[in-house]
Amino acid sequence: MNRKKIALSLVLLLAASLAALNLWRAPQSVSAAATESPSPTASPAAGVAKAKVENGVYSITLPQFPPDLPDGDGKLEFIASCSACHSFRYITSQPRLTRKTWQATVTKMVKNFGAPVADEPAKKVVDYLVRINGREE
Amino acid sequence: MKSFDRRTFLSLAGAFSAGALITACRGGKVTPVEVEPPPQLVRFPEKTELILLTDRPPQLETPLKYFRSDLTPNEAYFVRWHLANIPTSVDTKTYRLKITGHVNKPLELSLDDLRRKFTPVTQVVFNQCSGNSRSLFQPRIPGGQWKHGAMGNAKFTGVRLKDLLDAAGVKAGAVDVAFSALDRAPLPSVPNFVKSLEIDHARDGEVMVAYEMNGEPLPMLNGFPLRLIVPGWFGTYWVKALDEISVLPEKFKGYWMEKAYRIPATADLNEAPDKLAEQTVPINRMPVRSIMVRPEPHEKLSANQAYEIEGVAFDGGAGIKRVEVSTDGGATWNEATLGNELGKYSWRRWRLNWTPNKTGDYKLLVRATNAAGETQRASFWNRSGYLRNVIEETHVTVA
Repeated sequence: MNRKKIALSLVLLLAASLAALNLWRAPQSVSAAATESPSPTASPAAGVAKAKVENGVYSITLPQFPPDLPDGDGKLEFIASCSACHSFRYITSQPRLTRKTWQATVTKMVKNFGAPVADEPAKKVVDYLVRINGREE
Repeated sequence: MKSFDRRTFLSLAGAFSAGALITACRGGKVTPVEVEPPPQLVRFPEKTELILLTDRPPQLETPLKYFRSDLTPNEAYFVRWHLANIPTSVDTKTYRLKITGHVNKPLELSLDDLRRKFTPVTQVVFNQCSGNSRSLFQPRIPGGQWKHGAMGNAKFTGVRLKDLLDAAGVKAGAVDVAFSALDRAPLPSVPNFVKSLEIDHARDGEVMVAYEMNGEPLPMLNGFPLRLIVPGWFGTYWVKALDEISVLPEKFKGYWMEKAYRIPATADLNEAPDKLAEQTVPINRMPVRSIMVRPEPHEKLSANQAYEIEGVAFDGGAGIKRVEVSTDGGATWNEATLGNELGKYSWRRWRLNWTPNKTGDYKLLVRATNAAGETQRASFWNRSGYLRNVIEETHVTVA
């Protein structure tokens, strides 16, 4: 990796970490799914936000719905290693995976996608994932 | 225990933490049970309340209730992106679709060119994410934890890919066609999302580049302004925010074809966790499948009251021939009435009247058979959680 790429990655990591920690945007509300039987005529159009159209430019603003992450050993490594590319919902939306599967997932992120994580922090990330949403076997 | 409302139970249990392990007591035996968090509904731009899988990049699932009409409304159509930097702003005046590579005349087409210089075509096409219903596999598989809502049926208008390729003039010896898009990963080391089709498939006259969905511009989250439509094939090929079509004189070798979206190369596409297939191939055509839309899982019905069971069935293009429903856990089957035929690649809705005459718990099943004689199977697994088409169970209580 050359110096320019490293600098770029660091900037991206910082930006993504800020986004992930939600320092510049308030979290949006999340509602629990309705528990009633579905109505026979669902009307999806109500309350739908349209794209902004100005002089032929279509644009939308994406909301974020960050989950709460338990504190603990490895959380900082986890934020620094993973948040550049995806939200933490990628972890909290998973079933409780085994250590082996979380390890394979972290390895895939490093090997296939070039996640900038050295071996030591990667171990801490795996420990953290197993602790917050995993199991040993 | 039967009167205990499972949803309330799940909401309470899920409130502790995602995927918490709790201990349930049943028949005196203490068994650890994995509890799902309750689904969370969120609103994204141009979308109604959809089930949140992930927010960055967005992966949003359609609630079952929207599958009770022939066409899935744009507002309710599922969303699935791979790379976090998805297009959020598109200038329709400067947008160009490029056709490059092994062609006589490379083209750069404006959105206006596409509408005015080519014959428009419209077709109703069913789409399904490769990993639709992944969360139902046992053992569980990492990845998007979809239930049945990573699918939709919509009317697409656009131009035939064949017409675009003909306009550019494909040179002799073309092998593959690669499709690139506007989305990017935050890190340069992540491969761009590029998919490919073999040249004959790309020129079959059915694959199209759509600029409208259900008569409207595509929602930004569904690929505005242009999306590739690959009828009968899984959604991974339906490249969103399409901006370049590249004809290649050799096999395309990109990450998203060579490493990702692979299925076992076994005859039945099956494999076991302790015996994975040695060879894999890119995922392709959708196998025949049916989904019960109503009743929804754990719905409560009334005894001696007529009820209309509803659902959808689909396949890779042979056409749905028969849908059978069992209300007694598979002991007997009744043929459902098929709904409108909307096109070769549309889903087919179905319905069946049922009047349960006894109170209690029921296991409802549905299976479809297509015109090629293919039907659904009882069990099936693969490491990535793709291609699910087992006969699904819906448990309901009649009171």
